[in-house]
Amino acid sequence: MPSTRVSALILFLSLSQAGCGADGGRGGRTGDGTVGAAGTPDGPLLVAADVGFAPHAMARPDGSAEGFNIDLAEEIARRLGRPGYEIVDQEWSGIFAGLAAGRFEFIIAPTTMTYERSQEVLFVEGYLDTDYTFLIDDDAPDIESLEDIRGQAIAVNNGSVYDVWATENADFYDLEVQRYGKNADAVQAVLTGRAFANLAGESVARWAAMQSPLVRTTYTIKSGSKFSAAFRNDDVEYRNRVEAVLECMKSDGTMARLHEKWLGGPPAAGSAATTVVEGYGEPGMAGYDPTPHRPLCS
Amino acid sequence: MQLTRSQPPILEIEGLRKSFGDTEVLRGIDLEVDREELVFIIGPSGSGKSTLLRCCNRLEDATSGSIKFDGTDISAPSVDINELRQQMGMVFQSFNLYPHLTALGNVTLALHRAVGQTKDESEERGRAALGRVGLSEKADAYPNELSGGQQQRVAIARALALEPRILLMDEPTSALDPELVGSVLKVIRELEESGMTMLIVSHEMQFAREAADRVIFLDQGEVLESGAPDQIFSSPEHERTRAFLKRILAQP
Amino acid sequence: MIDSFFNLDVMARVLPAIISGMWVTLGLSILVITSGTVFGLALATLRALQYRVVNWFIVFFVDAFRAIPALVILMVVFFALPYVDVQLSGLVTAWLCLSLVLAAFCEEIFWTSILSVDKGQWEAARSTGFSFLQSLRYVVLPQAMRLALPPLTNRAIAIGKSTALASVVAVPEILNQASSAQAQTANASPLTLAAIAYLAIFLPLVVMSRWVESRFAWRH
Repeated sequence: MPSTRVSALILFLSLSQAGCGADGGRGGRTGDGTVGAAGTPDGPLLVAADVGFAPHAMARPDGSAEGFNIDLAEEIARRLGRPGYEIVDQEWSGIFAGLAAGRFEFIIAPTTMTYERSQEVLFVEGYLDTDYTFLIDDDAPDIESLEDIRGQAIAVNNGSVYDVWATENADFYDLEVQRYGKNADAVQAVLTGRAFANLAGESVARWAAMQSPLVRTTYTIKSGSKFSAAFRNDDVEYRNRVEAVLECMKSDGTMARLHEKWLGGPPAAGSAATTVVEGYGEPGMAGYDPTPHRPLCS
Repeated sequence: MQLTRSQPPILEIEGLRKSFGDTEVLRGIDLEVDREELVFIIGPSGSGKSTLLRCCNRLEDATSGSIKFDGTDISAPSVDINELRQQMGMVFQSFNLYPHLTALGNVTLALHRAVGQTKDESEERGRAALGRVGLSEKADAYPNELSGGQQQRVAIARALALEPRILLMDEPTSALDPELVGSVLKVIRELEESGMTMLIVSHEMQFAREAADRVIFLDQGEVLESGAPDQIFSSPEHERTRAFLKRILAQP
Repeated sequence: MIDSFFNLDVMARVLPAIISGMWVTLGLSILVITSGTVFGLALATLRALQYRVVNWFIVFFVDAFRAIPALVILMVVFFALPYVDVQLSGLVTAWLCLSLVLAAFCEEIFWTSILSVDKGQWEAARSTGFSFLQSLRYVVLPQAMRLALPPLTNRAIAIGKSTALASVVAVPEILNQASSAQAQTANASPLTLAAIAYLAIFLPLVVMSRWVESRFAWRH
């Protein structure tokens, strides 16, 4: 039987680990040196991502997170004048529930904008184009057209827009749709031969192909979709502030820099990563406010 | 009481030894039971009386020695022990009735499931057996609704239903309240008169005196004395027998 | 709050998906409970025969499957086994793993209840010519069952609910469907609907188990 001292030590250690999952925060101090709790205006930025979604949010061996969207969080925090940032590692299918429950300020995970979703949450203007790309086993034949997926098993991240696409087209193309909690598991399914292909965002699929010689990307469905950050519906003012920050990042080349770092090259001209959209939010989505405003970059 | 000596004994025990681990409980028992005999086994506790009985139907396996039932060595590999056991009915000190079945159910279970009789057949025989022990009207009662004496009689009926050639009884009345003992002894008496062979371990000395054909005194795993009840009770040969009888008979 | 968790519009939209999930949950639960209980009883019976070597394996299996979380077993079988060329679908994996887990718990429940039946019952049965298996079947098990039934029904219901774990291996049961709907609609109401769905399936089972318990209880 462990002594009471050891038990107390174990209890202390486990409590100190409790709280919001993987922490990426490099806490810093600004101004007068006092730091508040994460999620409060004086404290680190508290945002959520599904860590394990490369290259947007990935876990480092030491438990912290890195990736395109992690860097985004860091940059936003800095520009908002917050002392660092903290990432809540939240599995994708529960991320909107978490937002509604106020467990974090907004979702920094790359969230595809759909009109259906925009009715429940407030989006900023899109910051990254995202087409749908199929990832297949390296030995498999290319997908030249969508007919090539007929009768096959497609692995997707449960609840993602790729899940929606696959589900909506399941009858037409006679698909078996496998829904996994993490996209990494969906990629595993392709690696082990359970599924013929993984449908994911272009950036994600390309990264997976870069990391493993056993899979490669093939056919891409041009979706016209964009990634955005999601806020609570009543959080209008805060959404506007963060959007202003993002717009600056687009115009001063920060976004392009991150694109180059994580997505294998500079963004195409006229893409969401380089184009500032008038007003707040995204045209065509609920919550769009067309009132023009001046960019506030400092 | 007619003792049929023209046929071989129904039970022949020769040189029976039984050890549990390092403890030797039976140290070379020689015993014969003739057909229609009522043999009583008496002795102090720990003398191996129960063990002896349980070796007869192989609830315990002997360490050495032989037991022959109707000429067949019960330990022979060709023997079907389940069939053999049906011919040797056993009655336990704690009755061991099946609590989830009625009295009739208890009696007919083996008839129906082990012997393979039809439901009707087994019920008919079951009721007959219950009648023999005077409990026909209790056929649908559950064990916990019966008195101790009634339960033991049902247990006897259960053994009788299989039409055994010998009844082995291990202290059949020891767990009963005194006023209920009589009912069970009455049944045993009736069975004796109908010619059933019985080997009974018991403390009921008065009954032994009246009903037994032979009394065996077992002490420390050995047969110390064997003979007619009058002889054993009135003029025992051994000191230990005398001491035991004195102790037992002195009790109220 | 109401809008996020009790949005009737969203619930109405996702109801078909949840219902399809309910069929999977119900079917999987019934399959798992059946095979798990039967296998557990078989193991307990085998253990009663008292072959030393066999018992060692039984105890090892039972202890392992009671100690390792069902989710871990599911994930190992589903994600790791393909590397040794054993590839099972999500549904088969879930059925297999959950059945084995239930079997392990059931074996212990049956075993302890068999042990608690008085030895005299075995002796009485054997002395009337019943074989070991017949004694077990006609005399000992009926008595053991009355003791075993309450913990058995509890375990069965618990494992039925744990079919939610099958969501992780892509089985389209209730939770899997609800998760998908949640993310698509960006609303947590499907989760509320899922909770109601689980209630709809398992509350009747809980009530039924109480009835079964009382029906087989001892008459005193």
